[in-house]
Amino acid sequence: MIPRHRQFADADDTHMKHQNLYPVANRCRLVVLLIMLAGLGGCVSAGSNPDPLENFNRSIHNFNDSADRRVLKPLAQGYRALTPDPLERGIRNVFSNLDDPQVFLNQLLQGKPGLALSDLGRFLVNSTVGIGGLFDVASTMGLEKHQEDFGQTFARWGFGRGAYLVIPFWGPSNPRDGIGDILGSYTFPPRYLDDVPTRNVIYGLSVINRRANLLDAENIVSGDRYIFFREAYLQRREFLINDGEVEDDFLDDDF
Amino acid sequence: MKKTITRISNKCVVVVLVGFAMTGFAQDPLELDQTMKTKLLDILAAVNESSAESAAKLDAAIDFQAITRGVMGKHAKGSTQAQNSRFQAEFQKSMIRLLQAATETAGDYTIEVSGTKISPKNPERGQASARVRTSDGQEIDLVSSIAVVDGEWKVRNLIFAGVNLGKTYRNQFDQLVQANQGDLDQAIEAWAQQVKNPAE
Repeated sequence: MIPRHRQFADADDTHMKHQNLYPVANRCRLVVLLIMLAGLGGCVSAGSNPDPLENFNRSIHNFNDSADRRVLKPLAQGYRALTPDPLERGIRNVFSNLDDPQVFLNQLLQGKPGLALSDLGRFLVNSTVGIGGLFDVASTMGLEKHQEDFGQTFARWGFGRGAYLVIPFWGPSNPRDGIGDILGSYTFPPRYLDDVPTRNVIYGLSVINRRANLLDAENIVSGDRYIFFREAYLQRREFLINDGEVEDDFLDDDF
Repeated sequence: MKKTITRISNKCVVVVLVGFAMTGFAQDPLELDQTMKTKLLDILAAVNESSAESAAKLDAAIDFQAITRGVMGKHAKGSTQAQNSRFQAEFQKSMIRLLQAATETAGDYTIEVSGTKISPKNPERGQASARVRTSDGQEIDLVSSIAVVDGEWKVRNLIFAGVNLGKTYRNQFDQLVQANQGDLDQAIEAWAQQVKNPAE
């Protein structure tokens, strides 16, 4: 079960990335691709409406939300209650580190060699001195964590995002980010582990870790949850694509 | 002679006053950083108190009226004064609740204002960028859109980690109006109900 629909408010650097497709999603890849094609179709006929598939999306959102409430959220709460804080932080750092190869690659693809070098440096320093990423030594050295992925790269290259899509067991997405996520899953180092049980444990832990990090952010969700998640997702992605530059036109329109 | 001097000095006063008015709020950027840091800390502290003093602090730091109008968006055009005030009261509650939840989540947080910029088009509009560090080591980018209102800088929108609260609220309000077939009173009532019983 993948908590993508919670991802929007993830303030922690580690988990905004969509680098991993987990086993369930792997099996559903065809379904996901079909849904994305539907999203592209929606986009063609959508005009200015960012969410032409709202009815479909709402039903998937409700499904994801209730699955989350029954299974993933309690697991994440248990994990948080049982894991000592320093260990929890260490695990968060490890996954953040495993995301850095994707960040490095996408900095290059976006023509930012300086930042790419810095992110490669982060990965090397944290993997060695930081004991497999357990400690984020690189940040204290001034090598700041960045957030890049294939979806952002496609946006930089000029591809449109297509219609907003909520994907079962996955959460908010769109064709551009979804295809980016599939590519990104190949940059997640544990994917290449031969030992299947170990790999599965790592995948499982990464899901729970990410969900646990969103437990707090959830506090600020109010009103219509579907709209909150959708807006938060779209805005957050825009923010990441623009590397954190905010152009706020909230009160520019003269109502 | 005396008259001329008076006239000249009067002119000087006028020139100086106009000069002040023109510089307006062209504050020293570092000073503005500090002002904004104080305002943000004020806001985050005041939402967790409920005294006349904390309410006054919030009013001095947040332009609730402009934000409310922005959230009503296109529906503000046809609204009555009574509807505006009612919605402002309800909206204010939801915004304060959200900030309470945010501070509760953040634990012992610190705020560092990394920079403020003034709009090149309008010296009374700007943006303050801050980074909030929560007690468990997470970092959240917090951007505030600011404007000079009644002689001081006030917050007119907040963007948490890229999530634009004003716009999110506006879409939610629009959704409520649509769900109530364009009836503003009912939409505002529905908002009030959500404030009373936040859905879980």
